[in-house]
Amino acid sequence: MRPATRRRRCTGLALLAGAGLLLGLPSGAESQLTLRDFVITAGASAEGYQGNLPAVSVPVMDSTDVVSALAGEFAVRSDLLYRTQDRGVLQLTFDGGVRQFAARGFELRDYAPREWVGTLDLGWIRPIGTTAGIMVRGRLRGRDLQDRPPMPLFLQPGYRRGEAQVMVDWDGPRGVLYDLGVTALRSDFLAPAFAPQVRLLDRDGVLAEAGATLEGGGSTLRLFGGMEWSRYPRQETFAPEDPFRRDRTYHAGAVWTRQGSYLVQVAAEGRANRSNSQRPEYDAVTVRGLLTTSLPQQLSLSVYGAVTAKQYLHATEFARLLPGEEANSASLAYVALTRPLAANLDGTFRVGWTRAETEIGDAYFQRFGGTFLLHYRPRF
Amino acid sequence: MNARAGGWRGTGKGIPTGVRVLVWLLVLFVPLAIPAHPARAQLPLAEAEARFEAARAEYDRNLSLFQQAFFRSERALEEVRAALQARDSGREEQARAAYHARAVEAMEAEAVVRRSGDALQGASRGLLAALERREEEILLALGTGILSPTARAGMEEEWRAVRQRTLEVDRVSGGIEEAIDLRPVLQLSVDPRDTPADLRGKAGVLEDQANAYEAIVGQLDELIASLERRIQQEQAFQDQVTDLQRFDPDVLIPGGRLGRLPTAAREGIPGGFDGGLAQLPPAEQLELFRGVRAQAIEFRDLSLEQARVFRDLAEGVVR
Repeated sequence: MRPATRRRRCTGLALLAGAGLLLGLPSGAESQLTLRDFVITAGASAEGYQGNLPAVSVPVMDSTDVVSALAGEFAVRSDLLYRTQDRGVLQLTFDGGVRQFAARGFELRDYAPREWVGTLDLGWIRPIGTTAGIMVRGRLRGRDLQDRPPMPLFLQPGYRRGEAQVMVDWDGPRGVLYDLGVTALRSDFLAPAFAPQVRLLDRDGVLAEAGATLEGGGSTLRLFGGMEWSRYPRQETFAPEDPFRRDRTYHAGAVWTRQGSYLVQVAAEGRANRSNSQRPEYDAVTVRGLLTTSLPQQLSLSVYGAVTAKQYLHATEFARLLPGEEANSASLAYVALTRPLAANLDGTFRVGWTRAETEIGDAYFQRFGGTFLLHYRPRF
Repeated sequence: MNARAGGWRGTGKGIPTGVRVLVWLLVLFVPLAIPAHPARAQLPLAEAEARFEAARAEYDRNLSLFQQAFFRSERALEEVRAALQARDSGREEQARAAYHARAVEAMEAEAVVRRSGDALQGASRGLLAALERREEEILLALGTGILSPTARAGMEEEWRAVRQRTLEVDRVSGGIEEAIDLRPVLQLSVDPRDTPADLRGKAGVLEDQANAYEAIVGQLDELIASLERRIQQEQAFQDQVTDLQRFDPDVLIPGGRLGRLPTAAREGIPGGFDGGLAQLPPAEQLELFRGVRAQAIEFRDLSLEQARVFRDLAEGVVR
């Protein structure tokens, strides 16, 4: 399927699904449709990239180690709630956008990559009695990339990803809220004709996670733990009795949230990946923090940071393919200042730094830059 | 109990003595646990339902009459304001006289609707008590364990219906004060025997009412400012998270739900979870408070205008 057709199909399906769902909903007197948020985002960035590393879907290698890029982006996201009197709540969230780069600094030629992304999230939440609830959620995410540049300007290849999740939560003794969720997911990467190896990144899996949330003194603390079983149907182990790669990823951690004059979240998480293929086995610890607070002159300050320590268990000369796990390995820091500029219009200036892996494990690139964004929330 | 190889110990004719005793105990005591005349519990509930529905119909009728009278008095008050703005003393005098008459009508109608509201509150309490009793009876019956599947299904269905009805009655009784609470103290009416001192006293009561509404407006201003800060904060938080994740999956935040506010999980979910204002999304709370603030300002102004009516009466300006 041609890329433009794929993009249109993904966007069209998402919009049709959303419209059909809303039009088909009963509009009884006791039902209520609420638009919780609708944001149009537009902005521009100036970024620098460093790290001439191998990446799976890059067909050529460029000799430069540092490149820069200007990028413009446009996105729309929305959050809709449909409440019924006795059948729970339907939540529809969509988020889509396009980002266009103009990159400079490559030896071979200048590149102008364009990214299209879209995510459609549909969830149904229903109380069970007065102390429990169940949520069923489906998510579709699509990404398409044109004119993918070589490293160091790392951009993840295009893919289609689907997730289905069932989660229940219930009030336990002493005010503790327990939750248990199971998620099935599948990722199919889109391989251009000249880079069929991208399909090696395809994976599917099942994730189970349990948590307990304690609340007190204006703070909440969620303790969680889980396990994910992943299968990579196109990565062979060369062992006839167990031909394809299978991973088990264990994770556990805690998230602390406090909301008052400032909003802060801090999370610490440990991950251990074990596989029937030794190459991708690793242990990692990540500490992440999010802070948002109000400043004088109607300013808001947002800070997001993460520090990761990661160690692979076995040395290998082969590539370790870890698709979709770049976030588990990233260390980063972002600072943003936001201020209302007009009615329903906010402006944000953000600077940031990221150090993350490509799809090939233990190969890190760096990205740093500044972004200016406008967020417009129209009133309906 | 699971059967073991070789049969039960102490087997007489195939049923152990202990099981026989247990069966007799169940036969003797379980029927005592089930209400002997479940139908009798229906009668007070049915009567409570009938009283509630009658009180509700009476209240709705009187509320409609009050709202019509109040609307007419508001129209008359607008005419007073228009006359004041036009600085037309003749028009002002006529408008005040008309407003005076409409205000008295509204006062009387409000007194009637308040009495109906009190009656409805009483009927609601009676019905809620009857529903609670019935719910206890059903839970007790379900807990005994000796019910046919059909009977059990029927009782579970009834329990759900009782819970639903309880929530409905709660909502109705909670809405009574909301419908008439934010009104000036219109129980005050002009009595032909009132002396000028009495009228000045009533004016003072209305002025105190206006001051109370002014204090409410002040409190609402603080709540609104706090909510606006919270909304701005949460929007900045959410914008930061979604903008970072949209194009660059290497900042995706897996596991633990970092980037998601705990309060968002149950916001706006009706029915099962604990209700109340705190469960409404902040934007809806803000809209609610702004609406209440506008009403409080309106009724503050109305109280002041009515106080002026009484003061004018006390001074013999309006007859």
